[in-house]
Amino acid sequence: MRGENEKINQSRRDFFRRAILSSVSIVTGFSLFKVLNTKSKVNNFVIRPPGAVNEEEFLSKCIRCIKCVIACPYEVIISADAEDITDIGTPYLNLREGYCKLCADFPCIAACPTDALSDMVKKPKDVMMGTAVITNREACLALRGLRCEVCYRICPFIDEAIVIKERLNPYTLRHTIYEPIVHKEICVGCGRCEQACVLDEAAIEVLPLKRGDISKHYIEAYEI
Amino acid sequence: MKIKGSDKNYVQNRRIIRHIVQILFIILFFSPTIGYPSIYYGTLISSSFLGIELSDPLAVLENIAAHKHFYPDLIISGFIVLSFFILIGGRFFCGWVCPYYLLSEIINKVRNYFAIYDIKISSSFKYWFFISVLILSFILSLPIFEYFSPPGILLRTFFNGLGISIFIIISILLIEIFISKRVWCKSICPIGALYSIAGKFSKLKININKNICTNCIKCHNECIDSNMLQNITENAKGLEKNKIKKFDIESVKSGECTYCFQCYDVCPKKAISFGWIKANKN
Repeated sequence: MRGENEKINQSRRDFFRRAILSSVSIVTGFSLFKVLNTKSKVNNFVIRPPGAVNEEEFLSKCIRCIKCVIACPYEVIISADAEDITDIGTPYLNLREGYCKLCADFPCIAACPTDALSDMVKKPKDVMMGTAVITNREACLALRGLRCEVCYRICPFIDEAIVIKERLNPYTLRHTIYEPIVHKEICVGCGRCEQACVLDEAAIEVLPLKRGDISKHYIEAYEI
Repeated sequence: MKIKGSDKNYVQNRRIIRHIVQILFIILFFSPTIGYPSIYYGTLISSSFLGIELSDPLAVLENIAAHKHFYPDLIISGFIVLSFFILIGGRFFCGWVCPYYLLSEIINKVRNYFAIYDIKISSSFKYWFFISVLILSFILSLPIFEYFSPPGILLRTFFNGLGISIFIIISILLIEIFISKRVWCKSICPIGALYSIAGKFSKLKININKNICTNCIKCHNECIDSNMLQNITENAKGLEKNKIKKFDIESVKSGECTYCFQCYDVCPKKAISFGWIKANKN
Protein backbone atom coordinates (compact mmCIF):
# COMPACT_ATOMS: atom_id res chain seq x y z
CA MET A 1 0.00 0.00 0.00
CA ARG A 2 2.70 2.34 1.04
CA GLY A 3 4.73 1.52 -2.04
CA GLU A 4 1.79 2.37 -4.27
CA ASN A 5 1.40 5.74 -2.57
CA GLU A 6 5.07 6.36 -3.14
CA LYS A 7 4.61 5.49 -6.80
CA ILE A 8 1.67 7.88 -7.15
CA ASN A 9 3.62 10.60 -5.39
CA GLN A 10 6.54 9.95 -7.66
CA SER A 11 4.44 10.23 -10.81
CA ARG A 12 2.75 13.35 -9.44
CA ARG A 13 6.15 14.86 -8.74
CA ASP A 14 7.27 14.03 -12.26
CA PHE A 15 4.14 15.63 -13.66
CA PHE A 16 4.74 18.84 -11.73
CA ARG A 17 8.35 18.87 -12.79
CA ARG A 18 7.41 18.57 -16.42
CA ALA A 19 4.65 21.15 -16.11
CA ILE A 20 6.96 23.68 -14.48
CA LEU A 21 9.78 22.98 -16.89
CA SER A 22 7.54 23.40 -19.92
CA SER A 23 5.95 26.59 -18.61
CA VAL A 24 9.37 28.06 -17.86
CA SER A 25 10.54 27.23 -21.34
CA ILE A 26 7.38 28.69 -22.89
CA VAL A 27 7.87 31.98 -21.03
CA THR A 28 11.54 32.06 -22.00
CA GLY A 29 10.85 31.29 -25.63
CA PHE A 30 8.05 33.83 -25.83
CA SER A 31 10.12 36.63 -24.36
CA LEU A 32 13.18 35.83 -26.46
CA PHE A 33 11.02 35.75 -29.60
CA LYS A 34 9.40 39.07 -28.71
CA VAL A 35 12.70 40.76 -28.06
CA LEU A 36 14.83 39.33 -30.82
CA ASN A 37 12.18 39.56 -33.54
CA THR A 38 13.54 42.87 -34.74
CA LYS A 39 14.28 42.25 -38.41
CA SER A 40 10.69 42.85 -39.42
CA LYS A 41 10.73 46.24 -37.77
CA VAL A 42 13.72 47.74 -39.55
CA ASN A 43 11.76 49.15 -42.47
CA ASN A 44 9.06 50.69 -40.32
CA PHE A 45 9.39 54.41 -40.06
CA VAL A 46 9.71 55.93 -36.64
CA ILE A 47 10.51 59.50 -35.68
CA ARG A 48 13.87 59.52 -33.93
CA PRO A 49 14.97 62.38 -31.66
CA PRO A 50 16.68 65.41 -33.21
CA GLY A 51 20.09 64.78 -34.71
CA ALA A 52 19.47 61.10 -35.34
CA VAL A 53 21.54 59.71 -38.16
CA ASN A 54 19.96 57.35 -40.70
CA GLU A 55 18.06 54.41 -39.29
CA GLU A 56 20.54 51.56 -39.77
CA GLU A 57 23.47 53.59 -38.52
CA PHE A 58 21.36 54.82 -35.61
CA LEU A 59 20.54 51.26 -34.51
CA SER A 60 24.21 50.32 -34.50
CA LYS A 61 25.32 53.44 -32.66
CA CYS A 62 22.56 53.68 -30.05
CA ILE A 63 23.43 51.80 -26.86
CA ARG A 64 19.86 51.98 -25.48
CA CYS A 65 20.85 53.95 -22.40
CA ILE A 66 17.68 56.13 -22.64
CA LYS A 67 19.61 59.18 -21.43
CA CYS A 68 17.86 61.25 -24.08
CA VAL A 69 14.51 60.06 -22.71
CA ILE A 70 15.48 61.22 -19.23
CA ALA A 71 17.05 64.45 -20.51
CA CYS A 72 13.98 65.52 -22.51
CA PRO A 73 12.34 68.25 -20.36
CA TYR A 74 8.93 67.79 -22.00
CA GLU A 75 8.91 63.98 -21.88
CA VAL A 76 8.22 63.78 -25.59
CA ILE A 77 10.90 61.19 -26.32
CA ILE A 78 9.84 57.73 -25.22
CA SER A 79 11.80 54.52 -25.29
CA ALA A 80 10.40 51.57 -27.17
CA ASP A 81 9.41 48.32 -25.53
CA ALA A 82 9.35 44.92 -27.15
CA GLU A 83 5.86 45.24 -28.63
CA ASP A 84 6.40 48.74 -30.00
CA ILE A 85 7.04 49.65 -33.60
CA THR A 86 10.79 49.78 -33.24
CA ASP A 87 13.70 48.03 -31.52
CA ILE A 88 13.54 47.55 -27.78
CA GLY A 89 15.11 50.36 -25.81
CA THR A 90 15.58 52.79 -28.68
CA PRO A 91 14.15 56.29 -28.32
CA TYR A 92 11.38 57.61 -30.56
CA LEU A 93 8.71 60.28 -30.62
CA ASN A 94 4.99 59.67 -30.69
CA LEU A 95 3.94 62.81 -32.47
CA ARG A 96 0.23 62.47 -31.88
CA GLU A 97 0.90 62.50 -28.12
CA GLY A 98 3.34 65.40 -28.13
CA TYR A 99 5.69 67.21 -30.42
CA CYS A 100 9.37 68.11 -30.38
CA LYS A 101 9.74 71.63 -28.99
CA LEU A 102 13.12 72.05 -30.71
CA CYS A 103 14.86 73.33 -27.55
CA ALA A 104 17.63 75.80 -28.34
CA ASP A 105 20.26 73.79 -26.45
CA PHE A 106 19.06 70.31 -27.51
CA PRO A 107 19.38 68.48 -24.14
CA CYS A 108 18.79 65.13 -25.88
CA ILE A 109 21.78 65.60 -28.18
CA ALA A 110 23.91 66.84 -25.28
CA ALA A 111 22.94 63.76 -23.27
CA CYS A 112 23.79 61.21 -25.95
CA PRO A 113 27.02 59.41 -25.01
CA THR A 114 27.57 58.11 -28.53
CA ASP A 115 27.05 60.11 -31.69
CA ALA A 116 23.78 58.35 -32.47
CA LEU A 117 22.27 61.79 -31.97
CA SER A 118 24.81 63.74 -33.93
CA ASP A 119 26.04 67.02 -32.48
CA MET A 120 26.31 68.39 -35.99
CA VAL A 121 22.86 69.76 -35.28
CA LYS A 122 23.41 73.22 -33.84
CA LYS A 123 20.19 75.13 -34.50
CA PRO A 124 16.55 74.06 -34.91
CA LYS A 125 16.70 74.36 -38.70
CA ASP A 126 19.44 71.66 -38.88
CA VAL A 127 17.08 69.01 -37.51
CA MET A 128 15.83 66.43 -40.02
CA MET A 129 13.42 64.09 -38.27
CA GLY A 130 11.04 63.83 -41.19
CA THR A 131 8.71 66.06 -43.11
CA ALA A 132 5.06 66.96 -42.73
CA VAL A 133 2.73 65.84 -45.49
CA ILE A 134 -1.00 66.40 -45.86
CA THR A 135 -1.88 62.74 -46.13
CA ASN A 136 -5.65 63.04 -45.94
CA ARG A 137 -6.56 65.71 -48.47
CA GLU A 138 -10.25 64.79 -48.37
CA ALA A 139 -10.49 65.45 -44.64
CA CYS A 140 -8.33 68.56 -44.44
CA LEU A 141 -10.62 71.44 -43.49
CA ALA A 142 -8.60 74.05 -45.34
CA LEU A 143 -8.83 72.08 -48.57
CA ARG A 144 -12.59 71.77 -48.11
CA GLY A 145 -12.88 75.52 -48.10
CA LEU A 146 -12.90 76.30 -44.41
CA ARG A 147 -10.42 78.79 -43.00
CA CYS A 148 -8.61 76.38 -40.71
CA GLU A 149 -4.88 77.05 -41.20
CA VAL A 150 -4.06 75.69 -37.73
CA CYS A 151 -0.95 73.89 -39.01
CA TYR A 152 0.20 77.06 -40.76
CA ARG A 153 -0.23 79.25 -37.68
CA ILE A 154 1.35 76.79 -35.26
CA CYS A 155 4.41 75.94 -37.37
CA PRO A 156 7.67 77.15 -35.77
CA PHE A 157 8.85 78.13 -39.24
CA ILE A 158 5.69 79.96 -40.27
CA ASP A 159 5.72 81.15 -43.88
CA GLU A 160 8.86 79.10 -44.50
CA ALA A 161 8.04 75.45 -43.88
CA ILE A 162 4.29 75.82 -44.37
CA VAL A 163 2.92 78.54 -46.62
CA ILE A 164 -0.65 79.33 -47.55
CA LYS A 165 -1.50 79.38 -51.24
CA GLU A 166 -4.75 80.98 -52.24
CA ARG A 167 -6.81 79.67 -55.11
CA LEU A 168 -10.37 79.84 -56.31
CA ASN A 169 -12.78 77.32 -54.87
CA PRO A 170 -13.77 75.31 -57.97
CA TYR A 171 -17.13 74.28 -56.47
CA THR A 172 -18.55 77.67 -55.68
CA LEU A 173 -16.42 79.78 -58.05
CA ARG A 174 -16.84 82.62 -55.60
CA HIS A 175 -14.84 81.65 -52.51
CA THR A 176 -11.13 81.08 -51.86
CA ILE A 177 -9.36 77.94 -50.72
CA TYR A 178 -6.42 78.73 -48.44
CA GLU A 179 -4.31 75.65 -49.04
CA PRO A 180 -1.38 74.90 -46.70
CA ILE A 181 1.69 73.78 -48.62
CA VAL A 182 4.68 72.15 -46.91
CA HIS A 183 8.20 72.89 -48.11
CA LYS A 184 10.13 69.79 -47.16
CA GLU A 185 13.51 71.49 -47.54
CA ILE A 186 12.70 73.61 -44.50
CA CYS A 187 10.28 71.40 -42.55
CA VAL A 188 12.15 69.58 -39.74
CA GLY A 189 9.38 67.14 -38.84
CA CYS A 190 8.86 68.38 -35.30
CA GLY A 191 5.27 67.17 -35.49
CA ARG A 192 3.73 70.33 -34.10
CA CYS A 193 1.23 70.47 -36.96
CA GLU A 194 0.31 66.79 -36.57
CA GLN A 195 -0.29 67.31 -32.88
CA ALA A 196 -2.27 70.51 -33.43
CA CYS A 197 -4.50 69.25 -36.26
CA VAL A 198 -8.09 69.67 -35.11
CA LEU A 199 -9.33 66.45 -36.71
CA ASP A 200 -9.61 63.18 -34.79
CA GLU A 201 -7.16 61.57 -37.20
CA ALA A 202 -4.56 64.13 -38.17
CA ALA A 203 -4.83 65.10 -41.85
CA ILE A 204 -1.21 66.29 -41.77
CA GLU A 205 1.37 63.74 -40.70
CA VAL A 206 5.12 63.52 -40.39
CA LEU A 207 6.58 61.03 -42.84
CA PRO A 208 10.12 59.92 -43.72
CA LEU A 209 12.20 62.46 -45.48
CA LYS A 210 13.14 61.46 -48.99
CA ARG A 211 15.44 63.90 -50.67
CA GLY A 212 15.43 62.08 -54.01
CA ASP A 213 16.75 63.63 -57.18
CA ILE A 214 15.06 63.43 -60.55
CA SER A 215 15.80 60.07 -62.15
CA LYS A 216 18.56 59.80 -64.73
CA HIS A 217 16.07 58.80 -67.40
CA TYR A 218 14.49 62.22 -67.53
CA ILE A 219 15.81 65.58 -68.52
CA GLU A 220 14.18 68.91 -68.04
CA ALA A 221 13.41 70.50 -71.33
CA TYR A 222 14.34 74.01 -70.26
CA GLU A 223 17.87 72.87 -69.38
CA ILE A 224 18.76 71.90 -72.92
CA MET B 1 48.74 38.09 20.11
CA LYS B 2 46.18 39.89 18.02
CA ILE B 3 44.87 37.73 15.27
CA LYS B 4 43.36 39.39 12.28
CA GLY B 5 39.84 38.29 11.62
CA SER B 6 38.94 37.52 15.21
CA ASP B 7 39.07 40.94 16.82
CA LYS B 8 36.17 42.96 18.12
CA ASN B 9 35.96 45.03 14.95
CA TYR B 10 34.49 42.01 13.25
CA VAL B 11 30.82 42.98 13.13
CA GLN B 12 28.79 40.72 10.92
CA ASN B 13 26.58 43.36 9.41
CA ARG B 14 28.15 43.79 5.98
CA ARG B 15 25.08 42.35 4.29
CA ILE B 16 22.87 45.12 5.68
CA ILE B 17 25.37 47.79 4.59
CA ARG B 18 25.46 46.28 1.13
CA HIS B 19 21.68 46.16 0.81
CA ILE B 20 21.51 49.81 1.89
CA VAL B 21 24.06 50.69 -0.82
CA GLN B 22 22.09 48.72 -3.41
CA ILE B 23 18.88 50.56 -2.48
CA LEU B 24 20.70 53.91 -2.45
CA PHE B 25 21.81 53.23 -6.00
CA ILE B 26 18.23 52.49 -7.03
CA ILE B 27 17.16 55.80 -5.44
CA LEU B 28 20.00 57.49 -7.33
CA PHE B 29 18.68 56.08 -10.60
CA PHE B 30 15.24 57.35 -9.69
CA SER B 31 16.47 60.83 -8.73
CA PRO B 32 15.98 62.52 -12.12
CA THR B 33 12.26 61.69 -12.03
CA ILE B 34 11.90 63.57 -8.74
CA GLY B 35 13.47 66.79 -9.96
CA TYR B 36 15.03 68.03 -13.14
CA PRO B 37 18.29 66.13 -13.78
CA SER B 38 21.13 67.98 -12.15
CA ILE B 39 23.59 65.83 -10.18
CA TYR B 40 22.92 62.42 -11.66
CA TYR B 41 20.92 61.15 -14.54
CA GLY B 42 21.10 58.14 -16.75
CA THR B 43 20.95 54.39 -16.44
CA LEU B 44 23.51 51.68 -15.76
CA ILE B 45 24.34 51.62 -19.46
CA SER B 46 25.38 55.25 -19.52
CA SER B 47 24.96 58.12 -17.11
CA SER B 48 26.21 61.54 -16.12
CA PHE B 49 27.40 62.10 -12.57
CA LEU B 50 28.40 65.68 -11.71
CA GLY B 51 29.01 66.28 -15.38
CA ILE B 52 31.28 63.25 -15.75
CA GLU B 53 30.15 60.78 -18.38
CA LEU B 54 30.11 57.18 -17.16
CA SER B 55 29.38 54.20 -19.39
CA ASP B 56 29.06 50.48 -19.01
CA PRO B 57 32.31 49.06 -20.45
CA LEU B 58 30.42 46.21 -22.13
CA ALA B 59 28.14 48.69 -23.90
CA VAL B 60 31.24 50.55 -25.07
CA LEU B 61 32.76 47.34 -26.46
CA GLU B 62 29.47 46.47 -28.15
CA ASN B 63 29.28 49.95 -29.63
CA ILE B 64 32.80 49.59 -31.03
CA ALA B 65 31.94 46.15 -32.43
CA ALA B 66 28.62 47.24 -33.90
CA HIS B 67 29.60 50.67 -35.16
CA LYS B 68 33.14 49.63 -36.23
CA HIS B 69 34.37 53.06 -35.34
CA PHE B 70 36.10 54.57 -32.29
CA TYR B 71 34.23 57.33 -30.54
CA PRO B 72 36.75 58.72 -28.00
CA ASP B 73 34.29 60.32 -25.54
CA LEU B 74 32.46 57.03 -25.10
CA ILE B 75 35.66 55.01 -24.74
CA ILE B 76 36.96 57.39 -22.06
CA SER B 77 33.66 57.23 -20.16
CA GLY B 78 33.78 53.43 -20.20
CA PHE B 79 37.42 53.40 -19.21
CA ILE B 80 36.71 55.55 -16.13
CA VAL B 81 34.19 53.01 -14.86
CA LEU B 82 36.38 50.01 -15.69
CA SER B 83 39.47 51.47 -14.01
CA PHE B 84 37.42 52.39 -10.93
CA PHE B 85 36.22 48.81 -10.58
CA ILE B 86 39.73 47.44 -11.22
CA LEU B 87 40.86 49.66 -8.35
CA ILE B 88 38.32 48.46 -5.78
CA GLY B 89 37.82 44.91 -7.09
CA GLY B 90 36.16 43.76 -10.28
CA ARG B 91 32.72 42.45 -9.46
CA PHE B 92 31.99 45.06 -6.79
CA PHE B 93 29.66 46.31 -9.50
CA CYS B 94 27.61 43.11 -9.39
CA GLY B 95 27.29 42.86 -5.64
CA TRP B 96 26.81 46.51 -4.77
CA VAL B 97 25.34 48.33 -7.78
CA CYS B 98 23.44 46.03 -10.12
CA PRO B 99 19.69 46.02 -9.36
CA TYR B 100 19.27 42.59 -10.90
CA TYR B 101 21.68 41.10 -8.35
CA LEU B 102 19.41 42.32 -5.54
CA LEU B 103 16.40 40.79 -7.25
CA SER B 104 18.27 37.54 -7.74
CA GLU B 105 19.23 37.46 -4.06
CA ILE B 106 15.62 37.90 -2.99
CA ILE B 107 14.54 35.16 -5.40
CA ASN B 108 17.26 32.87 -4.11
CA LYS B 109 15.56 32.92 -0.69
CA VAL B 110 12.41 31.51 -2.30
CA ARG B 111 14.35 28.91 -4.23
CA ASN B 112 14.68 26.55 -1.26
CA TYR B 113 10.95 25.76 -1.45
CA PHE B 114 10.56 25.47 -5.20
CA ALA B 115 13.79 24.03 -6.56
CA ILE B 116 13.14 20.99 -8.75
CA TYR B 117 16.39 20.83 -10.68
CA ASP B 118 19.87 21.86 -9.83
CA ILE B 119 21.73 22.07 -13.09
CA LYS B 120 25.23 23.38 -12.60
CA ILE B 121 26.77 25.36 -15.42
CA SER B 122 30.44 26.20 -15.16
CA SER B 123 31.11 29.82 -14.31
CA SER B 124 33.56 30.01 -17.21
CA PHE B 125 30.62 29.73 -19.62
CA LYS B 126 30.03 33.45 -19.29
CA TYR B 127 33.35 34.25 -20.99
CA TRP B 128 32.19 32.36 -24.08
CA PHE B 129 28.89 34.18 -23.91
CA PHE B 130 30.78 37.47 -23.57
CA ILE B 131 32.85 36.72 -26.66
CA SER B 132 29.82 35.55 -28.64
CA VAL B 133 27.93 38.74 -27.72
CA LEU B 134 30.77 40.80 -29.15
CA ILE B 135 31.00 38.66 -32.29
CA LEU B 136 27.22 38.82 -32.80
CA SER B 137 27.31 42.59 -32.32
CA PHE B 138 30.00 42.77 -34.98
CA ILE B 139 28.08 40.60 -37.45
CA LEU B 140 24.64 42.11 -36.93
CA SER B 141 25.87 45.69 -36.41
CA LEU B 142 23.59 45.91 -33.37
CA PRO B 143 24.55 46.11 -29.70
CA ILE B 144 22.85 42.75 -29.21
CA PHE B 145 23.19 42.36 -25.45
CA GLU B 146 21.35 45.63 -24.76
CA TYR B 147 18.18 44.00 -26.08
CA PHE B 148 17.94 41.63 -23.12
CA SER B 149 20.36 42.91 -20.51
CA PRO B 150 18.51 42.55 -17.15
CA PRO B 151 19.91 45.73 -15.51
CA GLY B 152 19.12 47.63 -18.71
CA ILE B 153 15.56 46.31 -18.85
CA LEU B 154 15.02 46.96 -15.13
CA LEU B 155 16.19 50.56 -15.38
CA ARG B 156 14.17 51.18 -18.53
CA THR B 157 11.17 49.77 -16.69
CA PHE B 158 11.78 52.26 -13.88
CA PHE B 159 11.36 55.12 -16.33
CA ASN B 160 8.86 53.72 -18.81
CA GLY B 161 6.61 51.51 -16.75
CA LEU B 162 5.98 47.84 -17.30
CA GLY B 163 6.26 46.46 -20.78
CA ILE B 164 6.65 43.14 -22.50
CA SER B 165 10.42 43.20 -21.99
CA ILE B 166 9.87 42.46 -18.30
CA PHE B 167 9.17 38.88 -19.44
CA ILE B 168 12.91 38.52 -19.99
CA ILE B 169 13.46 39.24 -16.31
CA ILE B 170 10.60 36.93 -15.33
CA SER B 171 11.92 34.07 -17.43
CA ILE B 172 15.44 34.40 -16.03
CA LEU B 173 14.01 34.50 -12.52
CA LEU B 174 11.88 31.41 -13.20
CA ILE B 175 14.95 29.58 -14.45
CA GLU B 176 16.81 30.67 -11.34
CA ILE B 177 14.01 29.45 -9.06
CA PHE B 178 13.26 26.10 -10.66
CA ILE B 179 16.20 24.97 -12.69
CA SER B 180 19.57 26.37 -11.80
CA LYS B 181 20.71 28.35 -8.79
CA ARG B 182 21.64 31.96 -9.63
CA VAL B 183 22.65 30.88 -13.10
CA TRP B 184 22.50 34.32 -14.71
CA CYS B 185 24.92 36.10 -12.39
CA LYS B 186 27.14 33.07 -11.96
CA SER B 187 27.61 31.79 -15.47
CA ILE B 188 25.86 33.81 -18.17
CA CYS B 189 25.99 37.57 -17.60
CA PRO B 190 28.64 39.09 -19.94
CA ILE B 191 28.81 42.24 -17.82
CA GLY B 192 29.89 39.98 -14.96
CA ALA B 193 32.39 38.31 -17.29
CA LEU B 194 33.98 41.64 -18.14
CA TYR B 195 34.21 42.65 -14.50
CA SER B 196 35.57 39.19 -13.63
CA ILE B 197 38.41 39.77 -16.06
CA ALA B 198 38.91 43.19 -14.49
CA GLY B 199 38.85 41.60 -11.02
CA LYS B 200 41.89 39.48 -11.83
CA PHE B 201 43.95 42.68 -11.85
CA SER B 202 42.52 44.11 -8.66
CA LYS B 203 44.45 43.95 -5.39
CA LEU B 204 41.63 44.11 -2.83
CA LYS B 205 40.46 40.62 -2.01
CA ILE B 206 38.55 38.50 0.47
CA ASN B 207 41.15 36.80 2.68
CA ILE B 208 40.61 33.59 4.61
CA ASN B 209 42.66 32.72 7.67
CA LYS B 210 43.33 29.03 7.15
CA ASN B 211 44.49 28.53 10.72
CA ILE B 212 41.10 29.54 12.09
CA CYS B 213 38.86 28.13 9.37
CA THR B 214 37.40 24.72 10.23
CA ASN B 215 36.05 23.94 6.75
CA CYS B 216 32.45 23.99 8.01
CA ILE B 217 31.40 25.01 4.48
CA LYS B 218 28.73 27.42 5.73
CA CYS B 219 30.19 30.03 3.41
CA HIS B 220 29.94 27.68 0.44
CA ASN B 221 26.15 27.75 0.59
CA GLU B 222 26.10 31.53 0.55
CA CYS B 223 28.67 31.97 -2.20
CA ILE B 224 27.63 32.54 -5.79
CA ASP B 225 30.35 30.18 -7.03
CA SER B 226 31.64 28.05 -4.18
CA ASN B 227 34.56 26.65 -6.19
CA MET B 228 36.70 29.65 -5.35
CA LEU B 229 36.20 29.09 -1.61
CA GLN B 230 36.54 25.33 -1.80
CA ASN B 231 40.14 25.47 -3.02
CA ILE B 232 41.06 27.38 0.11
CA THR B 233 38.90 25.89 2.83
CA GLU B 234 39.72 22.27 2.04
CA ASN B 235 43.28 22.93 3.22
CA ALA B 236 42.06 24.62 6.42
CA LYS B 237 43.65 23.61 9.70
CA GLY B 238 41.03 24.77 12.19
CA LEU B 239 43.40 25.17 15.11
CA GLU B 240 42.37 26.09 18.65
CA LYS B 241 42.72 29.76 19.46
CA ASN B 242 45.62 29.39 21.89
CA LYS B 243 47.60 27.23 19.47
CA ILE B 244 47.63 29.78 16.67
CA LYS B 245 51.14 31.14 16.40
CA LYS B 246 51.26 32.70 12.93
CA PHE B 247 49.04 33.86 10.15
CA ASP B 248 48.24 31.60 7.27
CA ILE B 249 46.04 33.79 5.18
CA GLU B 250 45.07 33.02 1.63
CA SER B 251 43.25 35.36 -0.73
CA VAL B 252 40.32 34.48 -2.95
CA LYS B 253 42.24 35.21 -6.12
CA SER B 254 39.45 34.36 -8.51
CA GLY B 255 37.85 37.31 -10.26
CA GLU B 256 34.45 35.68 -9.80
CA CYS B 257 34.04 37.07 -6.26
CA THR B 258 31.24 39.66 -6.17
CA TYR B 259 32.29 41.03 -2.77
CA CYS B 260 28.84 40.30 -1.39
CA PHE B 261 30.36 39.61 2.08
CA GLN B 262 27.90 36.79 2.73
CA CYS B 263 30.81 34.54 3.72
CA TYR B 264 32.07 37.28 6.03
CA ASP B 265 28.69 37.50 7.75
CA VAL B 266 28.06 33.79 8.02
CA CYS B 267 31.46 32.61 9.25
CA PRO B 268 31.11 31.23 12.81
CA LYS B 269 34.86 31.44 13.48
CA LYS B 270 35.27 34.94 12.04
CA ALA B 271 38.10 33.78 9.84
CA ILE B 272 37.38 36.02 6.88
CA SER B 273 38.72 39.50 6.30
CA PHE B 274 38.74 42.00 3.48
CA GLY B 275 41.96 43.67 2.48
CA TRP B 276 45.10 43.76 0.38
CA ILE B 277 45.88 40.60 -1.54
CA LYS B 278 48.16 38.12 0.27
CA ALA B 279 50.97 36.56 -1.68
CA ASN B 280 50.83 32.80 -1.89
CA LYS B 281 53.71 31.27 0.02
CA ASN B 282 53.81 28.01 -1.94
